[in-house]
Amino acid sequence: MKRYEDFINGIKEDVEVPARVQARIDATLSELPVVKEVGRRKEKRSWMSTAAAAILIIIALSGCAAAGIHFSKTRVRVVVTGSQNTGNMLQAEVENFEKKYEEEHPDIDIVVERLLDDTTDWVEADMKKMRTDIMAGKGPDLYIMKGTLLATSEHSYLFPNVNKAMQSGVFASLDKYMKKDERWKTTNYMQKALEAGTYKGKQYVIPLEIQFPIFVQEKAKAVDYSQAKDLKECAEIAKNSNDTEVQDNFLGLQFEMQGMLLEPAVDYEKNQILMNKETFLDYVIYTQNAFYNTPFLEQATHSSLTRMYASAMASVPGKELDFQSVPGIDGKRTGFVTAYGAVGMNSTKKEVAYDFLASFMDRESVVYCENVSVNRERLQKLLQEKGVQEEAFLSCYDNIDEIVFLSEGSLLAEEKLNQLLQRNAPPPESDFAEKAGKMYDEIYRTYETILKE
Amino acid sequence: MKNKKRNSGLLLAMPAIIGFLIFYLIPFLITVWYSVSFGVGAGEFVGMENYRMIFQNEMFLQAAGNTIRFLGIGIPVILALSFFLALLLQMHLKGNRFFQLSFLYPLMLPVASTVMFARILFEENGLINHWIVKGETDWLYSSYAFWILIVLFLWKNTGYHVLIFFSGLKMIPREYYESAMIDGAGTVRLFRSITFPLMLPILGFSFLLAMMNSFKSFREALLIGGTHPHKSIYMLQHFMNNNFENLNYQKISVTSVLMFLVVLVVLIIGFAIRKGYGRRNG
Repeated sequence: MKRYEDFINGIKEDVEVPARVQARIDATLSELPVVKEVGRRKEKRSWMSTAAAAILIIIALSGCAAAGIHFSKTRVRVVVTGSQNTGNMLQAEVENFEKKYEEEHPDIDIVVERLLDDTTDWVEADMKKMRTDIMAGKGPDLYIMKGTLLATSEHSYLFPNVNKAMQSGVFASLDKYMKKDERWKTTNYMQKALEAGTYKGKQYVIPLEIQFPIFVQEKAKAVDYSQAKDLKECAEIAKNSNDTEVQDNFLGLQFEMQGMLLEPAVDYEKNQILMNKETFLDYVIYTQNAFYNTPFLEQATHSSLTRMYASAMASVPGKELDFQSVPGIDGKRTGFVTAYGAVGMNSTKKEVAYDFLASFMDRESVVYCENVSVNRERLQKLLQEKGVQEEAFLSCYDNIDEIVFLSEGSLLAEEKLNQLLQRNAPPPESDFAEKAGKMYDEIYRTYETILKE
Repeated sequence: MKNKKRNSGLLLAMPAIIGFLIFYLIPFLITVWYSVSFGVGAGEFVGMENYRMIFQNEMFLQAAGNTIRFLGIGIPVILALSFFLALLLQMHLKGNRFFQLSFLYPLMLPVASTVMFARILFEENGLINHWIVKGETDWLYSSYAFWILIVLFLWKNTGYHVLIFFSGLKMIPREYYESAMIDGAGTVRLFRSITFPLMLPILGFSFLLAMMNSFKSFREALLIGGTHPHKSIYMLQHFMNNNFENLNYQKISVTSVLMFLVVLVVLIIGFAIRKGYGRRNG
């Protein structure tokens, strides 16, 4: 066949023929069976070589993928929680930051997915699906989540108990990335907050924002709580002031910190319950008798300045405010994590995911007014921008003894204490102590179950 | 010819077999793998460590104990009660038709409304406290919660089993009884030698259904006490559900494998008893 082709080509080269004649010769030749066979074989050969090339490309590509070599950008999947009704500042911040980060890192593609956290059935179904994905090893590379919040029955959480999730091996340890990262050496992060994200000495979760109780008063009328060793002593100071506004302020604070009245409730490392029944009963019985067995309720205006959270710092513009930190019933000044980030255990891009998280933590803007950054410099800058007395506020911030993740136990405590310590309730009945004891036992059993599960 | 028939039978069963392999056997094997590994996704092999840990877990032991107690009380009671009621129905008493229908009503009610009714009765401010006891016991958050759960289980499922037993009793030919009575057999003898042996396969089937339904009682327990109820109604499903929330797949997998093994052993024993009884009675 090869010889025949050479022969035809030789004739074409040796003899000069007009184009019309050449066309007729070609047409006649193409009808010959032998020429047809040549065409068919050529076609077959070209098809086979195309297929072989395609197979080679596929093999090469899959080999590259297995070896972690990508021709396109490195894609990092980030899951952020957010509610449908109120919108979500956290998500807005992540998305804004994502653009900036991608500009600085053109080889990285950050894909932000929003996971709604309302309590509708389909949101619950989405959460379940996400949990199943995580357990099947198909979870996201990075989680930027809201922590358990107080008075938020409208939220559901992907990780209702962050401490338990850490124990389950859901998150990757970040120690080796943090060791290499200079930011940890140069920036003043709140160490107590970071400790909340550790388990067995390893950092799994990085808290981003926290909240803590704070006495906010008008400076001119401020009562001094600085000598109080615990919350009961604060209550005594408020009671002895004989000032309705001060007492109202105190009760306002107690109302807002019900969910964390028993915190820190559990030590997950030591598998220990830290709550103390005696201290709890001592406190609730005292406050009930102090405030509800008096004509105070009739005089109270409930125009409390005090808020549980630092949001109060922005809520009274134009007034000079006084900030004092609040000890718990056990004397510890405790705050809780409201937003955190963690890298998925199954992520194949842990380092990039970590870098995005650490950069996000170190970002310029902290737009939340109800949450406080764990980055002290950023917080200071925000306080200056808002014209808040930064020294007084930062002294409360620095005084915090412990930061915890709230859990389903805290929400139960909040619900139960809300029933027990109602602000507008009539004076306590004779069996108040018994009721309070039973309630404590129920909360204790819940924490015990959580701890032992 | 026989071989061909057997092959075509296998062919016909193939879709079901393939479905079983894909949707049950493979996931189960994956679960077995998770039960011997640590961490989400691929995980690392840790041998029997997870099993060792689970037997030291107080909440697992509590949940397993409660589940066994619930099955141990609920299943025999529901089977005996349903069998007895089915026998009564067979006696052609007055109002039989009404009772046959009324047994089905609890099945039609949604679980949530059943539990709401239980709450109205047994809560701290419920009708029982208000009218009968004149106290403030929270029955649903005490050791009584277990018995309330048993009552709800019986109330909801007895009718279903009565109908199964009733259909079974109807299938026993009248001639057997007539012939035995001619031979002088009394009521007890008729029950022991005809009714009970012939109802044994249906009893076995009912036992299986009762076991499945008793596992479903978790819905009631969850609605009564939430994810962390009183310890008397803390079941294996609570343990699994809460660990699912905390993404501890190892504990869920170990629990699932153990549950499977226990159910398998119970079924093998059940079949052995049935076979032995059948052989003894010819």
